[in-house]
Amino acid sequence: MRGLPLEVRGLGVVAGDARLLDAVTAAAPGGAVTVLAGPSGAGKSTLLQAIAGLRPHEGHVVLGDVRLDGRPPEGRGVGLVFQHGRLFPFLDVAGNVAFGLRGRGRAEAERRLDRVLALCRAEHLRDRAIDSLSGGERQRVALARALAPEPGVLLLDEPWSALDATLRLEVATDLLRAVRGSGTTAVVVTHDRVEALTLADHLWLIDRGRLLQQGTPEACYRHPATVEAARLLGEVMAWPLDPDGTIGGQPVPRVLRDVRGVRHAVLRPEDLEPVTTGGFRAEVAGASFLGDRWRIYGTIHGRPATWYGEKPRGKHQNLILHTE
Amino acid sequence: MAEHARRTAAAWPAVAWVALGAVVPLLALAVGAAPGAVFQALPALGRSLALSLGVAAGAVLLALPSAAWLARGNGRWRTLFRAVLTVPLTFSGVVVGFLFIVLLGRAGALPRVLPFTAGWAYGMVGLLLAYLYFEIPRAVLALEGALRTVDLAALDEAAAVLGAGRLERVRRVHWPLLRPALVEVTGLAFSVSLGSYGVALLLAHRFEILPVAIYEQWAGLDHPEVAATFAVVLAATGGLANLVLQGRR
Amino acid sequence: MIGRVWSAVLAVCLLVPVLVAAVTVVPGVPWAGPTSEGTGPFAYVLGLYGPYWLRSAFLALGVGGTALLVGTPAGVVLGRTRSRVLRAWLSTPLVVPGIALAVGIVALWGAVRGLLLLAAAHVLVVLPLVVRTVAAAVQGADLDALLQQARVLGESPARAWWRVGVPVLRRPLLASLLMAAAVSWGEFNVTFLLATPDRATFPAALYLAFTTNSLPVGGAALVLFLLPVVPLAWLAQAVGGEARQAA
Repeated sequence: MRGLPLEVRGLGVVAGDARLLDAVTAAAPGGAVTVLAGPSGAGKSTLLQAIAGLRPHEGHVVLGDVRLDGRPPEGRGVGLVFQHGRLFPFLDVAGNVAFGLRGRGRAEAERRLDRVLALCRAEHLRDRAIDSLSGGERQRVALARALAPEPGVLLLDEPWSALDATLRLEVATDLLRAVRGSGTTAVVVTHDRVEALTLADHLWLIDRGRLLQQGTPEACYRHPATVEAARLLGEVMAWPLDPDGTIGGQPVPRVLRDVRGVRHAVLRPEDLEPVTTGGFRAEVAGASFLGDRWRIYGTIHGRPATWYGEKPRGKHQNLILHTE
Repeated sequence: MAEHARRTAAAWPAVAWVALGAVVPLLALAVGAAPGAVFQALPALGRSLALSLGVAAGAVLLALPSAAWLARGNGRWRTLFRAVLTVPLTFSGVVVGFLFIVLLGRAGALPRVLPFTAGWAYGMVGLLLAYLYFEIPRAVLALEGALRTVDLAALDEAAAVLGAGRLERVRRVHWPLLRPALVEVTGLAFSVSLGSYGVALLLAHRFEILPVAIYEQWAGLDHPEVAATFAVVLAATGGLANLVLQGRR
Repeated sequence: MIGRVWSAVLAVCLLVPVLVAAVTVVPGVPWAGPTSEGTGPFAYVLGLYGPYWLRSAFLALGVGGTALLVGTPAGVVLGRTRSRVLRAWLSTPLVVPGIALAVGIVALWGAVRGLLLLAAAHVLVVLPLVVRTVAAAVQGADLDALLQQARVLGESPARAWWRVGVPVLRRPLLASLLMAAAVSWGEFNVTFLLATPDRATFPAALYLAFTTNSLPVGGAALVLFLLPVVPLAWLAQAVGGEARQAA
């Protein structure tokens, strides 16, 4: 059951008059970590809930070649970890982690319990009471609990976002190490773009209930499908094109549409490089010192722009555009 | 829609119970009420309101120092105090009335030491003291609950750092923060006082409050609609007071 | 500082009247006055009002249990939906003064014989307390979230309730039961009007004892009243306090 690919096809969720998810079709490779990234309110948690069967939905959820839609949550073999752990306060750590192991025999359950606690590096927490755990420890226990019954797919809903910023990276690395070690297909939700890029084997970009793009982080970053997708993963300058399809007479390499279908030229600051001669002229408005370089603000053909370089001398710079 | 019905289905027994036990009977009373009798009820209602309001305000005032102390922390002494408070909570009005007859009756315990207090139980002083005795434990516990949610210390400190003197802090920080809690608990105490008549049955021989008037009419048997009207007036007053409270919160 | 002293003063003011009144059962206490009833005060009270005492005890248990059965599901619904309408509706018995409720109940249901009507009226009075306590516990523990988690871990809705819902609600339910029994035991406002010779409770008997009998008999009745309810109330407080902390 483990390491199987997960697919959602035409997944839709309606709540009253609002459509929270609109015909989402995406695939998560087996045994890998897929990050579901998007701004707050995009529908990420709703998507996870639909996959888990906690929300009525349209469309299909397929694990390997087994159809999960139509089954209740307890029959989908899905593991779920929430922001605040949602540990059972009336059980200790061992009791929590073993909760989903009810059907197995005693010896088998013990074995699994030991194994998953070791995997999540939580053996020393075994007999502790829930309210004595720190935030990071709670999430480790929550993960162990989700992994114990060996689910077909693991869903994590911003599991470290409630923690201190300093702890977050450490806990995230810890948890994902355990996830990868278990070989379970995982979908992780985050609204943080750095996390999305660094942690993912595969990305699902979502906004306003729609899937914008899916692919590897690098592919999504370098070849965004829409303006919004580009914005999700990094800083972007999006300029509506002139009627002739150029910017100030110059052709632009990367043209994307936004959600309304309007075409934009899409640039990232690192696409622009200052040169001594040639290229096109940019007006400099200001600059910030970043330590290893400067961040320069200005306009190009009247449009606001940002790029990196040395400290600017004078009011103008020459820039060339790097294309792929 | 069906989902909603399924979610709330479990509440229907309780909803029906309240409907059949409280709402429908009161509506039936209101329908059979005699409008003229409303005026008959007014003097007793006035006395009820005055007594209940006075007792509620007094009880909350007297309860405040203790409630503030309780809300500040936990521990042995506070737990002990709470245990002491729980005892009078279980008393109905008659029990409190009896306590005060023993204490302040004509041949009571206190008059043996202070002769001038003989017979106080049956006067206004005794009545007020008895009602306060009845209300204060409730007021302390309710006020503690409300005060625990207010972080007075932190805001007080912030105001002090900003240069506000003690009096000014009381006026501009303590009072606005505490007012909702005080209003809520006063309202609660008022509601309880309004409906309690056990004390009055035993002690208030010359000060007839509305619940006692209801009982007299009801026991009288010749004009049941008068009792019904009085009951509707009392219920309406209780409901109105509650609405006003909810609005202010 | 003031708070502590003030509380001590209050505690004394609250306890002294109880002791002064209870002690009238002891023969020879100066303010007790003469006993006109012949036998000792306790014997008299038990003989005349003993059946009422038993009736109130059974009633308290029955009312507690019934209120839990009816009120717990409603409390769960209220805790999950946080509906203001539902909360207001179920608070009606708290808002309307007891005697007004009683007049209405007698007018509509007076034909119902015996203790049954009284029990139903007590359940009515106690219901808001049970509902609120359960609702607070459900909200505080975020029971819905925990139940969802149990479902995902492989339990059917019914089993999820059994393995998660019951443990979470155990303490609040116990506290509610004790509170409901304590309130039923001492309930007077509604009971006084509903009481007839075949359906009288101990608080109603107290009224008789306090107004028609001598002080020592009243004192004995008071002690018998306090005997079950003080431990009950203390227990309810203790369990309720823990429940509050656990949530």
